[in-house]
Amino acid sequence: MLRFVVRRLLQLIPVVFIIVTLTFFMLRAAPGGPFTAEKAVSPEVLRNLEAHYGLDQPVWKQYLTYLGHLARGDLGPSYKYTNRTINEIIAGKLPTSLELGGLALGIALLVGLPLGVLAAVKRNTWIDYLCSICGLVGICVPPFVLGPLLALVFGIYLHWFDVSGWEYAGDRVLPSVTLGFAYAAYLMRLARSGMLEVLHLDFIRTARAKGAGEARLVFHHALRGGLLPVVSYLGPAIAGLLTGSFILETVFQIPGLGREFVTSASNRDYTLVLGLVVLYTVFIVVMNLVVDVVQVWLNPRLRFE
Amino acid sequence: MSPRLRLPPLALAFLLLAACGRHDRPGDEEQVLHQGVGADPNDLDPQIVSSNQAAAISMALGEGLTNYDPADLHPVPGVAESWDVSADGLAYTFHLRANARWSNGEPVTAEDFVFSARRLLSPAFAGEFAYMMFPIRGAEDFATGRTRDFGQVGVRAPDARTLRYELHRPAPYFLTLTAHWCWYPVPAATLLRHGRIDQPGTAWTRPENFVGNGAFALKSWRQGEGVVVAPNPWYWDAPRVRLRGIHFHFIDNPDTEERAFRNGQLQITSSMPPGRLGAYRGTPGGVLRATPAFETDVLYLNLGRRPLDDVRVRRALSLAIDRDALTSAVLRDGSVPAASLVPDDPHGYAYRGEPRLRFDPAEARRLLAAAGFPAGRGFPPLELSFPNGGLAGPLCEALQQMWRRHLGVDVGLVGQERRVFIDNVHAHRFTLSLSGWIGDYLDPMSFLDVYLSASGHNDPGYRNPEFDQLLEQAAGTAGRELRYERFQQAEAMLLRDLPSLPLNHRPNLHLVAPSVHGYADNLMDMHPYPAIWLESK
Repeated sequence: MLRFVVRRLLQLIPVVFIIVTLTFFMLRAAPGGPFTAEKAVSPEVLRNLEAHYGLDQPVWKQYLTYLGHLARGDLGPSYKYTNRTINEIIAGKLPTSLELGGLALGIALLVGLPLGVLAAVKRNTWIDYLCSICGLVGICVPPFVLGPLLALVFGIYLHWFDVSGWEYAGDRVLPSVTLGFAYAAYLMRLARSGMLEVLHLDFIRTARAKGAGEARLVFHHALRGGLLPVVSYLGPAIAGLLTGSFILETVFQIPGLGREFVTSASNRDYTLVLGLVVLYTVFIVVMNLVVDVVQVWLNPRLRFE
Repeated sequence: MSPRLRLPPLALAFLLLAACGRHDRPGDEEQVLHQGVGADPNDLDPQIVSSNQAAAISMALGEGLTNYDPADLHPVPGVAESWDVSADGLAYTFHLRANARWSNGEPVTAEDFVFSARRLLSPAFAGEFAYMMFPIRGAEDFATGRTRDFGQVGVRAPDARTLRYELHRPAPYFLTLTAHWCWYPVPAATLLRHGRIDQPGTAWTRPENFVGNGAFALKSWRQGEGVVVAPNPWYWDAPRVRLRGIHFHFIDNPDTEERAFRNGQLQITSSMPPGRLGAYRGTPGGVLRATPAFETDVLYLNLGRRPLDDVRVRRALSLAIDRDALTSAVLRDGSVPAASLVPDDPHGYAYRGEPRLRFDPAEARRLLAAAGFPAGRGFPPLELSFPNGGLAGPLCEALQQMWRRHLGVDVGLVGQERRVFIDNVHAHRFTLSLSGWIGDYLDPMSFLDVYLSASGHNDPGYRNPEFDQLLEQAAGTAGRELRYERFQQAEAMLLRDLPSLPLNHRPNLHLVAPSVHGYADNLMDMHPYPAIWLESK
């Protein structure tokens, strides 16, 4: 297994390289630049700004310079936020995104998994139908509807929470519930269908015939296989959760990375876009690796290649 | 534990967290102001900050030679306690206060202002607002690199408390220029510890290093969250400052900001979602502030594209626009229809001449026929481009409808991402474009000089030597009445030639809590903090 993990981690290098190259040149190809503003700056000012940031060099030279810095872990200066580096911006905002994503994930797992298992076990009863309806609602109601709704009810009307900010402990509640609810719905449906598939297999029938109780059947025998679809989904989902949610951060004014993903592109803040892309790539590759390892652990029919 | 038993503990956890949910943050009782200022500022350096909203922070942390009077925006003493203007209007001598100090206790001297001018004008600094200092003799030459000798630039400090500017032509609005934040002094000693004079974006603006000469001093700056400032005990007018602190919150979504205001988390917002205007109009208490802004939305016409080079076509297009319907039915964001280009200043210049923009479809049809396109026949299809987002789309659809209905003319709509749009307009890759202009300083020049032949902002490509001459003459006129009279003539010329079609003037929209006092509405949306205080119950 160790060889497998090391090999996959080494694959990270060419993957990041390809993605950085594609992103770098796509950004340069997009019309407009970091200094495009409604009141056009004079040509002299533009020339000096570009010289300051090295944007007056030929593009291939800028690319190589960037790669050199990237290899040393230096993601460069921000073009928009003049006195901060990309490393600082990411270091400042990543913990917030991790916290929000972690809390939402916790809620999603604590709510979605048990309900999914329950719905599968109590199939075609009112419990199952209720869970399915909740699941559908959770998938269909987008966070930008649920978020303001919760803010209105629990913040403005009931005065239980603040409706924006990330200063106090209570500020975590509404955003993580909003985000967690959406993911809980997906997890519930995946867990339910995964469990249903496993519960109808022969070995479950055999175990039941041998006298195993329902609880033992579900938790000891079926759960490992039933959660396989959940695990596959969770890999990229966690990567997405941890790097922040643009909509949620806009609705609740959370200083995370999610908003930066979108605003950096519209600001043409080349270095920030690249830095975030590198970060997200690393997360995705690592999470996919984790998912693969967990799947082998859960499913005895799989082996590490 | 069965799944069913896990739910009540979750609900319990929710309620427990709810108990520590709301926090009584310092507010009215403690004279602490919470204000929304839009998106994260790109910097707190007053010579770099580029958004008007973020400039509110700069105005708390710094001060210029003059300030704006909040009621009618006339210049009042700031760092300068008095000034003399030479008879020919070319020399301004400022006498600085003896007790003007930086937030570290050091005195503010005339040399600080010379240093700051040099910094803003240095080519390597690449200051976006360097052009605001161009009325100074030699400033433009130094900024464009034509001369390397700063001694040629007309700014002198004969002694520590005397500052002298020499202009290359009279600029009666000079005292409003000196109130703009890009003219604020920057602390030379602090700055030079963190970089060269002309090096932008150094660490001097970090909270642990920042030094300013304003009513407040920087306490913290958390990206994505906000800036906290506390009263500066060294400020010369500190006794008048009643606020004990200001929290600036970076909330860039207007709906989120409005919710925060309703929840009592903010006392002043930076804007308002237009859709909620109706709801706030009904409520008494003066919470909604919708006042005219020094801004005009215009349609730029690319004068190099046929048939827009024919002035009859341009007039026809303008006369076919029902601006009242646009503002009352389509925009509904408090905008007022534009009758001219420069917004009215109730205490200064207001266009009173002819022609004025009006809605006259019959006259429009007559003009279009005279230009060779009766009932729109034979009129080539045109393209109207606009930046995606907000009400730009519906506005352009309304214009498209008006032109089709009243003129029989087909105009296609092209929505573009904001920077792509700006890039295209600056490169003259457009036919009609939906743009706007905000005046940087309170003088008609700030709107009219866009249309000078040599202006870098002249997107329509308007080249009229007669207009250039008229505007230069007006700009150089010292007496106010004659100056405004000449501006009227220049503006009349633009309204006859119509290189751009003014549409509407947007408002300054804010929500201001009833406990806030001293927040006066004005055209430039400037609200000096020494005047503001909070009423506690």
